[in-house]
Amino acid sequence: MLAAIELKGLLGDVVFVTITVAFFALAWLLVRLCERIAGSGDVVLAEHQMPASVAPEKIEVAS
Amino acid sequence: MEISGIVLLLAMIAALLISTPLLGGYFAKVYGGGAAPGDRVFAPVERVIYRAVRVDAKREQRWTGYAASLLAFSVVGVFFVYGLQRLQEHLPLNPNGMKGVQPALAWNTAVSFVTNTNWQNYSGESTMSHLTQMAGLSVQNFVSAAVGMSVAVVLIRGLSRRSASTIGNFWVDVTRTLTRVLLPLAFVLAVVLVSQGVVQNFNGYTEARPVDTSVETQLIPGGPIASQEAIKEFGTNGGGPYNANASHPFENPNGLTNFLEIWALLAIPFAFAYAFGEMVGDRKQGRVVFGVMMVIWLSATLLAMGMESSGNPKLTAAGADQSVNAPQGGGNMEGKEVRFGSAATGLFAASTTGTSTGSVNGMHNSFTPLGGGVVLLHMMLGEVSPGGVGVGLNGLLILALLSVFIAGLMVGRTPEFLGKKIQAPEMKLVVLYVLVMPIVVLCFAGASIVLDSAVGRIANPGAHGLSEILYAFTSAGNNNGSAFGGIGGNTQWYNTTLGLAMLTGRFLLIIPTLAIAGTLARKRPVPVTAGTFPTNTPLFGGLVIGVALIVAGLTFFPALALGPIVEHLSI
Repeated sequence: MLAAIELKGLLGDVVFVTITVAFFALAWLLVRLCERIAGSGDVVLAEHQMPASVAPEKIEVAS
Repeated sequence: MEISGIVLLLAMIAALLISTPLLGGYFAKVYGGGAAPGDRVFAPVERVIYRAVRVDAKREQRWTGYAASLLAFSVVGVFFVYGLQRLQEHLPLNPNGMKGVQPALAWNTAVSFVTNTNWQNYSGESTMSHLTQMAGLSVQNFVSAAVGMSVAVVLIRGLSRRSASTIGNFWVDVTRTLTRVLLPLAFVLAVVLVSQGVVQNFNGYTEARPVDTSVETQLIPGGPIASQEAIKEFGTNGGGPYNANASHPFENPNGLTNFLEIWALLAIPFAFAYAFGEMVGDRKQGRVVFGVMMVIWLSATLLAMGMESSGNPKLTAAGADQSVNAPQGGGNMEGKEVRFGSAATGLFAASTTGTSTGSVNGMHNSFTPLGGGVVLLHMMLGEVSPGGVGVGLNGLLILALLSVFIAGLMVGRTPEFLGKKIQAPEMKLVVLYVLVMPIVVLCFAGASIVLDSAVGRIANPGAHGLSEILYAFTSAGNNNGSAFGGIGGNTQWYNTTLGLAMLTGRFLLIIPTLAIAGTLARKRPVPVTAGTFPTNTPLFGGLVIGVALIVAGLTFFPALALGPIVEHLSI
């Protein structure tokens, strides 16, 4: 009986982990879709300042 | 309405008018670059955090990188809170011996707190260990709020930067929000709440002998309540450690704590409007945004307070005295705390539904039909009055972009907002943003109405039952988290669909927002000409309010007509 309950719980874990992964994968697809809608456009580095505590010499761009 | 209710509302408006420029000015410095107050204290702490999590604070991200970081951070949060609940019986700080939470409920709760919704299909005092409350739920109260505020800052940067490819660093924004805004504010409020009698300990149940001799013993739950209560309001989270939420005397013991808790849930969202004006260099624009938020919130508040103060006509017809007099507050007192009264509960309800907080100090299910309808509509506006921390400003700016586009079409001018041309890509993203929430709310609510198992979990038949289902999905889809009540949500169906509604209402709105910020940041501002439609005037504010009402009205009026409106007409 206990094993059956634990198995049911484990199955539930698998289901909800899968749903979570699937949703966030879908969210990432939406990022790609929005990127396509937004287009790349002309890109020029920002000239603004970072906060004083983290003020950079030059802003590098991460992907 | 009783005089105390009017005084309370005026005092709240005064408190907000004082706190908004103070907090907003501070936010503008924290997020705007340059020196900020407290740099000497906070900067070394932040450097340690960046080093510990290996973040290069000097590197900025494009919007896609920002979105990737945000999604990765959130998915880890979901798994962590889920695991904590599932394993809590094997973990420390569990004096009441709480069992591991069942998978569907654990997932719903994890998603709920990571999305800043805090919908609760459980009673905190009989389900969660202290460790789960502190390391899981309270931590998410902080970080989910910080994520929302960071996204708002990104949108402001998108509007204020020119020809920029980057919009900030997610890890830096979240860290600075936590260290400089949320932790200090929550700490101060928690201390004040403790001074007023809110519980803060690590005790389990205390066995007491009540005055009522028909009951032999009573179990009084303890726990770290004040610390969670403070961030619950400041972070517009809403999930209370006790099932009765802010109507529980250990969470909200008196009139002063009630006032402070309502102010705390409104303070940051309103302050963001001021910070926006400062950061884009157009204070008038900030005042217009603030004005729109204030007008909608005040309208909903006056309606909710008025409806609840006027009482239930059926009870009046039956001979009940619902008038305001010396021994009673009067009005519709069903489901309300005597120490607060009907008007103060109306104020709390309108504020919590306008800010995507979800904290309650009364039972919304017991509101008059139109009182309940007002708070329902308030959420359906998209949580923009003033909305959740950060996300409220986002929603309002999206509506502003839609308004400027419509205005441009009407008067034949090129749509521009703060000097940025609003073109096809931005409008496609705006439409995506506007459509997601209604689709998820109406589809899941509609599916629940045709499922016998789902309808079987509501407490009332007819129009009120429809309101119970509609409210649940509206609350989840808007990341509000308040419960109307009268719905047994702890089932596979509701745990799963409400969880999906929360995820969709959070992340599928954040992504287009970041994309809009990214496209706007790239644009060069165009000079203001005689053909530019001014957006920093009361006229534009009125237009934004009109657009918000029309969008929500066209989308949700049929559902509202079948729920609260039919119910009102039937009494």
